[in-house]
Amino acid sequence: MATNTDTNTSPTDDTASKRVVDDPILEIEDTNVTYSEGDTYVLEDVNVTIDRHEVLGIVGESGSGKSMFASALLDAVPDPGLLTGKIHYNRKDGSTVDILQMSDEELRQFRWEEISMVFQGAMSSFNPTMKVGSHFKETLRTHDKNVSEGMEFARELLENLYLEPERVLDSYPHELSGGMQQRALIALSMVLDPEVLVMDEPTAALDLLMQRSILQLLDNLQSEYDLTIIFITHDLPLVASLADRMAIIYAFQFAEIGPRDEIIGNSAHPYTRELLNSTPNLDAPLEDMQPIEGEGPAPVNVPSGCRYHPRCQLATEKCRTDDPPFSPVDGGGGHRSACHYREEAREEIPLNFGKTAEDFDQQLVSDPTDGPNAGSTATLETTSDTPLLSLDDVEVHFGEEQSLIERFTQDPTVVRAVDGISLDIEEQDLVCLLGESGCGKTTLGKTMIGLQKPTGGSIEYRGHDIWEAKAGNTDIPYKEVRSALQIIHQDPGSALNPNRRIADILTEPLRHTHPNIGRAERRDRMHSLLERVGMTPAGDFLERYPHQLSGGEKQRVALARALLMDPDAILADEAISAVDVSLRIGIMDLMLELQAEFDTSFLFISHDLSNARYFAEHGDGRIAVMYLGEIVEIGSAERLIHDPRHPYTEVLRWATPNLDLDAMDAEDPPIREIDVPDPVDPPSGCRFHTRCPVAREACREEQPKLAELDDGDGAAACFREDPNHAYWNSEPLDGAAENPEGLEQH
Amino acid sequence: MTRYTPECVDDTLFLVSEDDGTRIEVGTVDDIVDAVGGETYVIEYDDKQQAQPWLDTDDGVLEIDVREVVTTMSHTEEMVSELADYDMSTDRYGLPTRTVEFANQLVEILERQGSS
Ligand code: SF4
Ligand code: SF4
Repeated sequence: MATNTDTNTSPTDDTASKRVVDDPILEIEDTNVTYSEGDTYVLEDVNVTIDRHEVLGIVGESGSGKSMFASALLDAVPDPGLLTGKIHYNRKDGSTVDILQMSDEELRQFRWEEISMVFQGAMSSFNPTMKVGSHFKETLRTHDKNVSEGMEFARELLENLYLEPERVLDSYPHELSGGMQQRALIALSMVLDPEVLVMDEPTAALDLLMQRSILQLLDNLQSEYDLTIIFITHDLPLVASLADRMAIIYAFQFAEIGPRDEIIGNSAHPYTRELLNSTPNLDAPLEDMQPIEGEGPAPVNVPSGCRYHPRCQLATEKCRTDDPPFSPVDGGGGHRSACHYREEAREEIPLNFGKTAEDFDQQLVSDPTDGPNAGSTATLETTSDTPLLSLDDVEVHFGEEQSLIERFTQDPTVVRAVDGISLDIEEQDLVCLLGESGCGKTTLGKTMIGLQKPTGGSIEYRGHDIWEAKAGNTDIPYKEVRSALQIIHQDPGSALNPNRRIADILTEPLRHTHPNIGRAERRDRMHSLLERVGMTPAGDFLERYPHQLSGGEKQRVALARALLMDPDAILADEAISAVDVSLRIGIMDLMLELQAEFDTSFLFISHDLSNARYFAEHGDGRIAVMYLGEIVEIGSAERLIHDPRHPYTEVLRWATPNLDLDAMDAEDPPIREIDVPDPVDPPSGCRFHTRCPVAREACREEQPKLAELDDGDGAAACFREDPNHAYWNSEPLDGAAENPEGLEQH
Repeated sequence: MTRYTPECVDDTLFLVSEDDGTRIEVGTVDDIVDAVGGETYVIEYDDKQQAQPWLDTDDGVLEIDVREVVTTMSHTEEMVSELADYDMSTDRYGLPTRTVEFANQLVEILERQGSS
């Protein structure tokens, strides 16, 4: 509860932070946001100073109060929230204003001209009937700026964001891809030349590669226009590459703040350390990645004493009663932490990503039975003759049947969502489809489980053509195929009927698979499965409605529902991206354990290599990298990460969160174009040639085939695999590396 | 990229290529308004969204005049070729299918904005 407020601050803290921040642009003092007439705190006792021209990364899980902090900086807390305290803004000319004392008109000018913001819902804040150019003009006009000068600046900004200014300005918002819209919003937020840019999860809806590219562009903008950036996110490694300092918010308060390297490498708070250890990444040994048990509290339920104590492995009696002050950490250069036991935290919670790959290999050798799927290798190698699912030259082309089109346009618009893919999925197999949005991974996944009909090639379930079965032309009933192949969606919320209790939601599949069992047995089965997926007490959960569950719990219900169908394969479509970082590993572990217990295969779709790695490496599976409808590389996670053969795989590796401080600082994206080409009109030859950092003339003409590797597992589709290919004697394309050997590996 | 601009002939809406004048009939404006579901379409923006400097809303509410939008908003070649897949003559809910498809696409564009 919101008592003990004064213990969280002491006058000395403030002085301490001011010592390091020598030219503060924002000084936030004793700031709170409350609801219900001051009873409920959604932001409590914030005392933070932000330096001019710094990038401050603020990390917190959903519902931690981090967005409220962003709103507070612009005095834009949603009604009926009450914002109190002081937020001083120091102008370049030396004058100071308290944002919370401004009149409405002062505030209107202040926002966007001095502090600007790109927030989570911004992609839905366009006027759909206005071209993007008019959005810029309108912004300039309402702030009484010279429109033609402003538009010049807008073009410059768009260009700096790798966009074609004229094309973007002349488009309606819906005509741009998500990544382009987001960059247009960044340009819009900067067109009035503000001093401070507040970004609240600005990239969360985008692919990892686009997120990383945007961060890189922000880094450039920050130095070019002397910006102060406050970047708020749930994604710790993402912002780590950009930030000078980092802060961690937990349960509506700052838990820790300090220089980036201190927070990543020498954190003095158990939550930060556990958050770092729970973050899927490419460096840490898998066995050491641990979820944090439990979830963050709701505002009405903040624990007494240290608010992290119910989840903290170091908690003592003192933690349960005394709120730890947010005070300086010895020798930490402005490092502050709210924990009674900083030294113990550092000693007793070792960071996992400091370990080397050798440690990891040794662990594997010394404990072969480790891991939820241990022993399943045999199943994979001694595959029976007939695979569970077999794709043969599968094509899914959208918009093919178009008789009338040619009358209006020369080129028929065919999207080759999936183009000529052959792949076998064995019993109890695990395959991750990895790629950017629009690469066809979801279409391929749906085709694999019979939800999407291929326009070419065939897909067989245990030797029976799925679509022939649907037409009734095989001896296997279609119903059997349908229930054998299940899907879990990205957003479990929308997949669960909001008007039905969990009990009803789970009854449906049981009726289907076990039509003859009675009510009591049905309830028993639901009960034990809910407990198995970690939802206890199961009786309570059965009576709830989906909106009464957290994101992680909804995903567990969706998983339970799929398992009740006794499936042979489950397609998990970005199934963990909506789940908080600290819980992801937990859900992934659960899926892996259940895969072994229930004898199912898993098809896992992701844009994040570190999640795919976690699955594939733990589950002894493969990762298939997709680009514009094709598989460009496939292999074990181990091989793909340590020895990627396709340049695109290397690019995805670049885009993947990294907690290694030496390798962390943002570098330019190793691609020649940020945006994925239009799938309606894919590039000739190798489809990656427009972006490939090492593309040559030959790549424009001929299309590389997916070929087995001689000296490694899996296959890749790149001419560089063939030492005799004409590629080696042709000229590098515009912007491509002269010397392909320069394509560095991480 | 070729854009198609709207042109009205006796209340019938056509989309006309800016490049070569190719045109496609979409339907009468009255039919489109019916298919969209009324003369105005309302988008509601949340507190943060309505604070965007380019949005001029009435307390977060933006009323869109459907008649005005369909007669002023231009479209991409991609959208037009999708429309061409639908016939002008076949009736669906008593309206030409292409008209209904156009209205659906328009609503989809409008629905993407605002707080859902
Ligand atoms: S004060 Fe206690 S409960 Fe809180 S983080 Fe520190 S050790 Fe854990
Ligand atoms: S074939 Fe050429 S363009 Fe394609 S990935 Fe290989 S080097 Fe790059």
